[in-house]
Amino acid sequence: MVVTCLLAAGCTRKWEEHNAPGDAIYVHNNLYQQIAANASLSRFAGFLKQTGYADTISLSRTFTVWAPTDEALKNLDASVVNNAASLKKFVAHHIAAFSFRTSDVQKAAVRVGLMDGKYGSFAVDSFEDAAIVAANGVAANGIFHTISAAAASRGNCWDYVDSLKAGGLAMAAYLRDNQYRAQDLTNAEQIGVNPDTGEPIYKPGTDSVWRNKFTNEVYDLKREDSVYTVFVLANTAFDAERVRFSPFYATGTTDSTTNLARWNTVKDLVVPGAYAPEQLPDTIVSKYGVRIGVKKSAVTSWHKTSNGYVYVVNEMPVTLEQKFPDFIVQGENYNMARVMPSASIFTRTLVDSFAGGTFKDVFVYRHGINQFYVGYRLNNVYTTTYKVYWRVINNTGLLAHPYVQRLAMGRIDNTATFPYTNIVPYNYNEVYLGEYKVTNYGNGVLSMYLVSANITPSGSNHNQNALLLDYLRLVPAR
Amino acid sequence: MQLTTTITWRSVLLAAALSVTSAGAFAQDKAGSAKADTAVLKASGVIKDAATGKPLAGVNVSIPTFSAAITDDKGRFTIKVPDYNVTLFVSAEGVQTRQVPLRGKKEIAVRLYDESFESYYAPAVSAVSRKAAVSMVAPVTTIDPEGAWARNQETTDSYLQGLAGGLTAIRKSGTPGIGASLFMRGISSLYTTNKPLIVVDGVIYDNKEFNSSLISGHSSNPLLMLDIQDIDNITVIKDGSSTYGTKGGNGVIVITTATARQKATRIDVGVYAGVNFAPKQLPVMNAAQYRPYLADMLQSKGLTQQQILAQPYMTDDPANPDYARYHYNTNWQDKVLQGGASSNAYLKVSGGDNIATYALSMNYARNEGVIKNTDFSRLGTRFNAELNLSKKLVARSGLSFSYAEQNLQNTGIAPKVNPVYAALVKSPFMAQNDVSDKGDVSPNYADTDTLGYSNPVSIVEKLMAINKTYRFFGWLSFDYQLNSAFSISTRVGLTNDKVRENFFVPSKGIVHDTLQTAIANNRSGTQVKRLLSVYNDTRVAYKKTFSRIHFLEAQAGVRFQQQKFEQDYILGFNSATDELINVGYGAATLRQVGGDLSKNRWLNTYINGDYSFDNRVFINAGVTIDGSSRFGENADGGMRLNGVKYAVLPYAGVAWLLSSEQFMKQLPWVSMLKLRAGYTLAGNDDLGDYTARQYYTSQNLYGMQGLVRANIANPRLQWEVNRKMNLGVDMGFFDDRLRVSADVYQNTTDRMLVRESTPGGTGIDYFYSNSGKMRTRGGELAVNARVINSQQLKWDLGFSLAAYRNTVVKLPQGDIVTPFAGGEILTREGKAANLFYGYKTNGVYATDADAAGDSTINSGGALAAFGGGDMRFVNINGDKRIDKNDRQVIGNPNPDFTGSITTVLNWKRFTLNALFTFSKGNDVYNYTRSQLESGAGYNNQLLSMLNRWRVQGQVTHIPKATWGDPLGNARFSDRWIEDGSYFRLRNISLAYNVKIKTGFLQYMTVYVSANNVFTITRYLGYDPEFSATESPLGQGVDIGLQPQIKSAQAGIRLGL
Repeated sequence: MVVTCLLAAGCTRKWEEHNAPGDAIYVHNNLYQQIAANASLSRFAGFLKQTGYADTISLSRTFTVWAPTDEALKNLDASVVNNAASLKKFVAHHIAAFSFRTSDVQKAAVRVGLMDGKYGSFAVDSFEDAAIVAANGVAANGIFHTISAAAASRGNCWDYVDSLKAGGLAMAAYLRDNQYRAQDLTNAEQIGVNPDTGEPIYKPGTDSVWRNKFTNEVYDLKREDSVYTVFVLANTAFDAERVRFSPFYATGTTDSTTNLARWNTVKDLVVPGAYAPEQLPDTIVSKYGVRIGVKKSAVTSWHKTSNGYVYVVNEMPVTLEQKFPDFIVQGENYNMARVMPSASIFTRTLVDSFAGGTFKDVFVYRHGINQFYVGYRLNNVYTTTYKVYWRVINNTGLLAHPYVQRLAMGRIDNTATFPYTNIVPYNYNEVYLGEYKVTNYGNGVLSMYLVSANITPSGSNHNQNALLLDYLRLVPAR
Repeated sequence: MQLTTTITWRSVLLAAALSVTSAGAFAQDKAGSAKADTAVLKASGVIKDAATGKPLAGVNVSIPTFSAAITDDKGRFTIKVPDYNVTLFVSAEGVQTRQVPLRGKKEIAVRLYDESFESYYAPAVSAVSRKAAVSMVAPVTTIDPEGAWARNQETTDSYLQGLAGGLTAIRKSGTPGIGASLFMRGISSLYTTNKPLIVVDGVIYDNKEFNSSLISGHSSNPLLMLDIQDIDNITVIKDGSSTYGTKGGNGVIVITTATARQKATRIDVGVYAGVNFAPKQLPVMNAAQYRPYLADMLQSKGLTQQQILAQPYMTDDPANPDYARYHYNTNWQDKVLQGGASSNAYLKVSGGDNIATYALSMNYARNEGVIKNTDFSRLGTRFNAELNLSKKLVARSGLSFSYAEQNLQNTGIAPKVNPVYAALVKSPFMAQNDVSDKGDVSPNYADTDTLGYSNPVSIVEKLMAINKTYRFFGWLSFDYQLNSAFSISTRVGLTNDKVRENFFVPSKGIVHDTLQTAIANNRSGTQVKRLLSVYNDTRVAYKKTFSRIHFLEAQAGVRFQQQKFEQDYILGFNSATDELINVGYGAATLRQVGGDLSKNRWLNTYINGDYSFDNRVFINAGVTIDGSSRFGENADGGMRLNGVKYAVLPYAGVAWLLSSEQFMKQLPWVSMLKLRAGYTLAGNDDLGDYTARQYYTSQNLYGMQGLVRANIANPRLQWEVNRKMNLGVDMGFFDDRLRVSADVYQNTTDRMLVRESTPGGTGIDYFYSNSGKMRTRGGELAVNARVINSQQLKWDLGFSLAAYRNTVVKLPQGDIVTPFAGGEILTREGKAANLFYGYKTNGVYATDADAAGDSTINSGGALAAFGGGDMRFVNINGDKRIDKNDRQVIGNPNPDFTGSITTVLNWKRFTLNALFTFSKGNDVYNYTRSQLESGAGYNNQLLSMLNRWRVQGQVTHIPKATWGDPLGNARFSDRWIEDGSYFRLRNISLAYNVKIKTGFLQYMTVYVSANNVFTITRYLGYDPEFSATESPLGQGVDIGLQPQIKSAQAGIRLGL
């Protein structure tokens, strides 16, 4: 019997030995227990307990804690220590969900999402601005690093833009204040039902919210999980740009012209990615493809934020060609037609024997309608004179050589711009059609129509009333 | 050509042996006759009980065909002897039979042991005759199960474990009734069967599982249909002298079932009930340990913090609707493994008169497995009868019918449906049942979880896997005694076997399967396998004693066997609901129908002769000539008759009973000493019914059914030739109180069947040829002793040891690497046939710097660099790159030795029996652990994974956890090779023979027994004993079958 017991014990031990080798590093303690057991981290352990994060980092998920030493917390601002909310925020800025070891840092530094919603910058030897004293402490549910200073949280770019606004920078004010109202039913309060339509009626003011145009359309500078570099023009430069761009936005009022010019100024001045002053590139390319020069000498001040950098600059050189580029309209991208959908409109993919590669064009054939058209709508068309070109490749044996088609600007019945033009076969060159002047910005929309020959269709004249277009090019005068 | 030379050489050997013995005989004759002429010689002696020392009265003492005597009250006898070299035959009721040589003495003293003490003079059954084991030339072991009352839940194959030295029985798994893989003296072949032939009552017992089971990890065991309680005697013939020719290459197990022992009507009744215990669980992580592991795994998969936090199981907010559902701590092993009950009932009625005797038995057994809702039950009946039709003509018959039903579960490598595997890898924070957002528990079982794992409870509760087997095994024989020397007998046997399997895998709770054209949500299948086997054995036997000292016995006969096999299966998929479980409800477009038909015939002609000289020298020789439908038309070896190739396999052996020689009287304490030598040829015809012929198989291509060529015929295909050399010695000391037997052998398999690969252009991967050669050498030792021998207390102790070393001698195309369960098995010339072939490891890189420069070729074929936390694999060629050239032999599944210890303790009316079995030095590939420490996915892991490498500089033996294991840290390496040595108390039983007044009740015995009571092993799995396949390639691989179980049983047996 005794032997049996001994034997049974022997069998159990084999697992114990296998599961716990002599130099095992695994600890059954969770992160809080590990930190609390560390004499030099007692102050932070106390904060963890005080704020309830002790329970969080005891959960059976993994966490990473960057624990400041007692020495580092000695001089922590009493306002933080004594205010429950700010202490909680402070502690939260030192904890991340999931394990981050120094070996996970592949680049110079990685951004790690922290419990306070901010991101911390974690490098092999530092966390935020604090140096790592002891890295890669192990607990059952994660990793902890000891750091030599408290890691304070920063405001984000948007917060800093707000402070620049307070500092009197017009561009900052423009960014912050350019708002519009949009429907948002999240907090809407329904007060009735429209008896005619059955649609709900909301209490006025509850069904819509103010949205910022910049954060909604360009980049949301409030986001902590992305990084941006923001360039804010000093007031002089900001106004100079307004003056430069205003002619392209001829409208009925000065205000709207100013607004458009300013929007065109600011929309290109934020790029994704955090560029430290020493990393600043010579040029940036904005979300809208505009290439803008960066002059390091023009930087008057800069600020590191939790999600990037904000620079105040005296100048951001940009050419009018970049701001007001050519319009190129691909023939196959029509958005109107005399009959739509139509079985007579074809999109062809052709080998470009002239420039190489392939291209697509639109081909309208056997539509059976006099003056059939396909139409194009251009947006944000600035007020200036355009030189208009097209490229039409008539390479099909179906058509008469030559046949005619015309481009109507603005309205379909606008025969002045431009008249019927002979389409010469196998011409791979752009053909200049003439000039067209846009005088009023309005809503910025310009319609163009490609119109077929003015002949009554018959069984035999399909070869004369076709339409072909590779692309249109509008070159603004700047 | 080679065969001819062997025969010639053989004849020389035989002739030499004969001439030596006959010269001896001649000399003896001269001396004997000289004395016999002068006067009547007499010998006398005293016979005593070995236990008490008291004289035994009424003991028969005889010299066959010469004289007989009987002992008086003082145990004394006087007998007429022809000379003083003669052997006296001693026998009496209740004591063991003995043969006592006078060795020149006139006066002898004999001490006899009780009947229960094993003896050299007990009868053994060879394939063609029945005689005392002492006169046997071949290496045989005789086992009398004595009803096997204490082990009645076992099948014959697993029962034999540890009882016949040289016969390795490895229990396949813990599934009740699944039996054991049998290997006779190690490995004899790579691709044909290694199982010994089983002959029951003179008829070949079809013991092969024809085609596989539909249920993963399961195989039908034909021996399940033979109740161990019906068996009277088991004789294991280990060499090639069995006369079964090309079926006897792996030796023969001759089983004799019970017949009436006496004419009076006897009724034996046994009733038993028992319990099975769930195995000790593997230490896998609990929920609190698993979730951090999972978080690390998701991080290594490349998910961001937000993506991981968005997983439903990562929430810690009790208000979150997913919170309740994913905050369980389920011990899944508890949910699928449980104890069970067993029961067994047995009834035997025997009796008869001068004309006819009969034995009728009925048995019922039921045994629950340790996987929930698995069990096996059997109902069987057997009727053996003997009819004396005339003085010379005896008719005998044996009819048996059994029905077995098994409720099973898929085991082995079937991750979606193996409940034990699913329980091990399933995340512990999941719930067994559906849980609402508020935490209310539904009675419905939860569906497949978000991590893609089956619900183990759904598997054990809802998945159906049933095997029903019927077997009729019957025979009829007629023996006609022509005259005192000649007899003719014929025996006709019929086996009709039907295996019916049904399974249904429901949609809910079990991971769906992917078919070529569809996703299979639920799956069903049915299969019927039928076997019809006809057998006949007709022989002429001759038996005569010449001049008292020359005994000659010979048999010549013909055996014929025809087997017809049919398999039909249907697999159905996607029935409308989980309630429609028949294949017929499945989608018609997905239904798969298939089957197999085959037939073979075997004709065996045998001539066997036994000659013994004065009970001192025994010679056995014979030849078998086999024809089989499986042999190729142009087989290389053998003899051609009428255009058909026959295998000619001779054998011969000689035994010398030295202890009967005069000069041995100097050593009176040597009561028995026998030397044996044999050189035998047998064969193996398990080539596949149609491997030698061209055949076609049906194939579906885009809905078109057609026939395609299935093989490359090899008309030169022939039987494997097993040459067996055996040297043995049997010894008895102190009136056989201590008995020692030892054998050494060398078995060579010539013309071993090998798969040869073919050029790709043939469209067929390989063909079979007889171009390999293998050799196994080994030895066996058995020691038995009566340690304590007093009237009240008797203690018998037995110890047996067996070892073999296998070597592949010749392979036609170099190394064969067989993939199995994610590992590789190497067959290489000069080494054992089934070595584990993989990478050696040398710890874990502690830091990136340690690993600098080392790389490997990953599964995608690209070069990948090792880093801190990766396994450090041993680089053989020093190129700093781990690739397949760095594979080496990392383990050998063949044991250094195996053996057993038996002990029987008799005290008053108590009997305590124990059987210990052990295996030493066999390596095991722990596939299950390789999954539970792979650190590559969502599988729950063993606790050891808590020690995985996590930070630079960490020194540990467990590598880091990385999604998908890009650097192959979990590849087949010595990490997964373990020592499978074990020492086990296999069975222990205590019987109490209740003292009753004779009358209506003859006897009453109460039993308590326990199986697998304890196992000492370092093996990190449920149990170190398993056999995933009957092939030697695949032994020692733990693929996660049902583990061996502890069980206990109590019962009562009555005789009326």
